[in-house]
Amino acid sequence: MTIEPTFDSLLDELRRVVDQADPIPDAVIRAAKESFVWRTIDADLAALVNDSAAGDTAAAVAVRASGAARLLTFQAPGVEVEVEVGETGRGRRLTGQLVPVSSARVTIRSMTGAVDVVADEFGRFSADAVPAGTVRLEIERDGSTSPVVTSWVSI
Amino acid sequence: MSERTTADLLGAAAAGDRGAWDTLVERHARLVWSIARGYGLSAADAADVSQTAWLRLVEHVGRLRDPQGLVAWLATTTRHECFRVMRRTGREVFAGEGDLDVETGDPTPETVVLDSERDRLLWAALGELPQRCQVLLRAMVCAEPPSYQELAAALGMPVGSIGPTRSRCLDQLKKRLRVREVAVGNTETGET
Repeated sequence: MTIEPTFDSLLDELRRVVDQADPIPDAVIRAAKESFVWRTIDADLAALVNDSAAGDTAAAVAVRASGAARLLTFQAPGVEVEVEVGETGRGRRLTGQLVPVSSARVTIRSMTGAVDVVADEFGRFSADAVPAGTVRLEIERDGSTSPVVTSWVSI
Repeated sequence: MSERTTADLLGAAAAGDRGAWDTLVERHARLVWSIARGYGLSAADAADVSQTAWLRLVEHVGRLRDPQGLVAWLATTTRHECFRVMRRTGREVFAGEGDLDVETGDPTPETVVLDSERDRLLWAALGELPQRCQVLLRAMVCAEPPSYQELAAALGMPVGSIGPTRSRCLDQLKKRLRVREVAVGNTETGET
């Protein structure tokens, strides 16, 4: 790779200026390191397979334009979780559906705390005033020994 | 002590080695931050994106098929999260090559403390560049500079276009720096 020497020295200058003008805050590094405590080894991961607010599909554009609720779909082997995220004032309202239907204990986990709700026999659950930020759902279905945790998602 | 490889660190972290995880963070946190800031996110949004990206890596730490692809994976995850924030805040998400010629017209607003006039001019010039250039150049000057493959992931561009894009972005940076230098009456090159 050959680069003009003037580019090289300009990059060196840029490196120094960026380091000085916009260093990564210590708190951001600390938070990244702290993420490790959320490592889970004894639960099935339900990956985020669809996010109505992501991508450039017509549906995503329509969702954003209309201010309609955002729909998230998480999938793990044998279980699917659909979550609608609405905005209510400063918090979020989460309305969820487990498939296959099952009653369950659902914990909405954030960096700062947790909200516990119960899914009814039709697999429906909801939570109000969930603080905006990065969350995941931890789900213990009645009659199942394997808990499910969803991927982290910023709401 | 020899440097531990990424594969080694990922394996150790997956097995619960906190120190290995901390090393991964120390090596790559700046890249994640640079990408988010390069896309013009506020410090608060960039912190949020960074948090989400690292939490996602915790989830996948034992599942990444290709340890060598870690940085590209982090860069891609970061880019997707940035786009989500940009859409939420009603900002245009660029696409295609054409936007290289479009100015952001939005110099970095933060007041920063910089030693010299020349530094201030360079920082201001960077803030004027198209978003894609800001991401590329900021990623390139990270302590752990990413490969072209990894830069391509950060930008969502083909690897083959990174080289030419890099040249154009550096050209533009030089040009804007010169314009600013002339404007303040400082025509020295500053290359001392």
